[in-house]
Amino acid sequence: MKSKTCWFNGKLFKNTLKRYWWFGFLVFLTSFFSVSVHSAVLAANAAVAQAANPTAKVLDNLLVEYFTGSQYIVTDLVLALAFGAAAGLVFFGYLHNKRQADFFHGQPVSRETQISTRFLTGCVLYAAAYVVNLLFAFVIMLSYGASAAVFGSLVLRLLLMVLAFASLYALSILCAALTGNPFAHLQMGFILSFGGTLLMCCLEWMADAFLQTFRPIAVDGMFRGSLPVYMIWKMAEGRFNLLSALCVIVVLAVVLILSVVAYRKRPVEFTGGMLAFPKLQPAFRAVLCLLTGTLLGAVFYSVLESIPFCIFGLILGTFLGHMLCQGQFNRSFGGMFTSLVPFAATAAVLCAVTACFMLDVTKFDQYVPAQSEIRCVGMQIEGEEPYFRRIFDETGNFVSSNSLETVTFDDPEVVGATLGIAHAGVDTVESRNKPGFGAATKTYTIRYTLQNGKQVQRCYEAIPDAATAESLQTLLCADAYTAQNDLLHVDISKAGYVNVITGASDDARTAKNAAEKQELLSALREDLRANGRPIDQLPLGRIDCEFYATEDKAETERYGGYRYMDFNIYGSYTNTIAVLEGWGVKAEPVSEEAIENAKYLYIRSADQYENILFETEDPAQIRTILQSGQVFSVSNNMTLTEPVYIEVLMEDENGMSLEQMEKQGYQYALSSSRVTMETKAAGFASYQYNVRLGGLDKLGVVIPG
Amino acid sequence: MIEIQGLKKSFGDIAAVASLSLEIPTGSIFGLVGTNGAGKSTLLRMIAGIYRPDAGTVTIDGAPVYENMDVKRNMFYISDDVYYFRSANMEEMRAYYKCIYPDFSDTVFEGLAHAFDLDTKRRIATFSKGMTRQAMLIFAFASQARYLLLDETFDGLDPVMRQAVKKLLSIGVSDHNVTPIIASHSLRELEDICDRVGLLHKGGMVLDMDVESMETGMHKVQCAFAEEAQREWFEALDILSFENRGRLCTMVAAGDEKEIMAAIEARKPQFAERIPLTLEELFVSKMEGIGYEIKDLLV
Repeated sequence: MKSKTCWFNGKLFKNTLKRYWWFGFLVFLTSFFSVSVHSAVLAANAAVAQAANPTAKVLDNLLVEYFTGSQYIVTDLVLALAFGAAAGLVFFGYLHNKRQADFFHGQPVSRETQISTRFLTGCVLYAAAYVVNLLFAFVIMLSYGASAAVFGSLVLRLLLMVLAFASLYALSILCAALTGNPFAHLQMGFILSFGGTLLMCCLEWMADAFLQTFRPIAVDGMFRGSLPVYMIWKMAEGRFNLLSALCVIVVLAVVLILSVVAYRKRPVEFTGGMLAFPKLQPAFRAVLCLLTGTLLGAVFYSVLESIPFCIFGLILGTFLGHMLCQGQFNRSFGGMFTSLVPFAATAAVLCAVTACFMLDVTKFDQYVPAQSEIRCVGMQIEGEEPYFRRIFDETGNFVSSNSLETVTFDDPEVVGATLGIAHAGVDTVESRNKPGFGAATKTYTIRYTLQNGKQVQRCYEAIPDAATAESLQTLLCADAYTAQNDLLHVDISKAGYVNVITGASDDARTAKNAAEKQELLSALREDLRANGRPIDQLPLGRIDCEFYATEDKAETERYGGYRYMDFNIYGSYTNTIAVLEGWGVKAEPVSEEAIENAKYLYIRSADQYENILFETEDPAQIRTILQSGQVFSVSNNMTLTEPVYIEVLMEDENGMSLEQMEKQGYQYALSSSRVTMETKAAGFASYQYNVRLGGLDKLGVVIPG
Repeated sequence: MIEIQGLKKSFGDIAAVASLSLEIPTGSIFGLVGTNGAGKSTLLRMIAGIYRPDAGTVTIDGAPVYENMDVKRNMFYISDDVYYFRSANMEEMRAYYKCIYPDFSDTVFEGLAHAFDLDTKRRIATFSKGMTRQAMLIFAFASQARYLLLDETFDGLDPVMRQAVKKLLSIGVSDHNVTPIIASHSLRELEDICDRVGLLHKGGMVLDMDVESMETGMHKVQCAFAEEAQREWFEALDILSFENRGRLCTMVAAGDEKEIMAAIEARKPQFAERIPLTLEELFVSKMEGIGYEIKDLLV
């Protein structure tokens, strides 16, 4: 009769603790410097600051921050993870040595008891050594005068570190159970820890390299495939909460169960070899070959951007990975060149997958969902802040969003307009190889949230043709789009910064307190409701506002959520002007004399992407533009026979070149009916406004033959 | 009793143990003999519960061995390549064994350590090979395990120590019903100690016999004649082996001792003397009788 499984032996546990005391000592020594000494240095510096400012709770804040703040936890976390990984080699290294494996497996100790005893021993030794140093740190801070209110945080930190240690320890045990020697153990650990993430990175690289419209949605999603990286990332950002801990505990439990199962079934005779389960060889080889093949293919492609070179790199990398595996499986140099069929199959699969990306077999770049499939959309235009600013001059609002997630629209008109841009972008994909293709395009990143909740993201490079501009016009001017950003709807009390700039004043005037912010923005809101944004007037100045998405500025700074809004001040804004005059701020327009020259950049037509630049310093033309812009003539008698794009750029007082302006996004008016101007007058920051021209055919611009 | 039925174990394409069946009664000293690669260590490891058999069963007193702690507590395995904790001395190893062998006897341990004159506080790593094996045997006996699996244990022991160990094993068998299974590549090493011997070759048990019964009915005689003796002179005897060195003749014959001596005396030898058969000669005789060329199998 087989005996019942015994999971724990108390005497053996104590004996194992004694035998591995040195591991605990190593942990103690390391955490002595990372915790005790470090906290002593911090406390000493904080004490100096405290002495300089007795009323501030410098020491107490340090105490709280030290035991709960992310910046002090990450180092210890990395050490905990490293010790956890090492513990697997230390406590279960006998599985990689024939003598030791025979010794331990020949004894009346069940495999379950071996795992439980050694796992607990490692965790207890780590916890004991670490908690001693945590207590040292706590006492040191108390001795400097901090209060003892955060003792609970000390326990929390200990639990976090033990959890981190235990999770990597469990993974390392699994690696020991699956492999036959320490080198294989390390490779298995690398694959289990990072393999999933690396494979996703490889796929992302291929998609990014070969698909025109691909952009990764969320980089951090990849990290969830790697337990150590996930923990470090979450803790570094201060977002390791109860849910995160539960996730790690679940993973830890699963990995431990897998370790027990693997160890139970592990044949001792494969000790010393590569893998304890020969049936894992094909999977191990496939993963390693895929990683090495893709890595080398990516490197070769990035060097020459040549597809044949990339293919060569894929095959070579696969072969190198295959050699590495076979050499270890067969434990001979000659063995590296055996089993070439699996190598050929893996290389073929990798090349086929790459070819699928290169040829866009799944029509990824052609994808545009039907409007009925879409729940809402979000869109960003790359390098378009100045453009947004120009467009929003009409409505008076501008929003800078930190991510597509914070700005989404479900209004059918907006969605339809976005799809228009998407279709234009798909068409552009096919035109990419045409000569002259390049700077005339804009990059639009659109995220579709479908009815089924799935998120799909595409990044289009669309030519700013009339259709695109029309769609964009609809999008940006749509009530739905602006409603989220309009000062009429935002909570004024969340204004963090309000600054006023006028053409007559060299100094900006900032609202000093909440009362002034409320006063000015309330007046501006009334003026916007009454007058909208007059497009035929020259602005007298500008109000810049900064709104926090949440009450907590620090949280906003950490997670994003700023909203910037710029409002031009027009002559009809009587309420606003009255408030400003009460502050002693005079609103005056930009003077004509402040403008030095104008540059015209236009594109011949939608089919020809050639940029042509003309320049004028004629004050009369400049004046015309400034005054109304309805009629505009150019000295070289250019006449436009069809809608094209014209940009009028002013060279600023610093002589900024056109190229520099391009880099700063001053290029590319996207509307066939607008001329965009930038002026830089004394005392102004770069300042833009739109002059509606009512149709390019009225410009009287002639395209040279 | 250790019962092995149809046991098989392969490592890749190599059949280390091929369909082996064997019974080892309790209270006997069993010798497992075979050349290198015959499968001795593999068989011992399967009996010790280290390897899981690919097929067949290994039971001890009716209970399967693999991962059966009740059975394993009655077993102590000493590998051919002995392992001990790095930097440990015998006291520390004792503390470890006491955790896993509940019946571990300090009295036996201390008595044997004294008898073998081993310093229990000295690091085992500083012991010689023979001393290390002595130490492991002390642990084996002190564990009070009823089955001792000893792989190439006598290798490295000096003749005096070898005799001491043999005596110890005999006492263990007679007083404590211990059943040692000793694997060796040398029959000479197992001389005078084993009750039963099994010969392993290429994973299979070629011969498994009780030594005493093998000796019965077989006699080795050394005699000298005035002229070189001829095998035909003794046609009436069942001659198993016949060797001449000049006028000195050595023969092994099966049958009644008196009849054999009478047949030899009839030829008027200058002298005739019965000498003991070695285990090796017994085997050779038996195997040649079966038809095996056994010279290549034994060291």
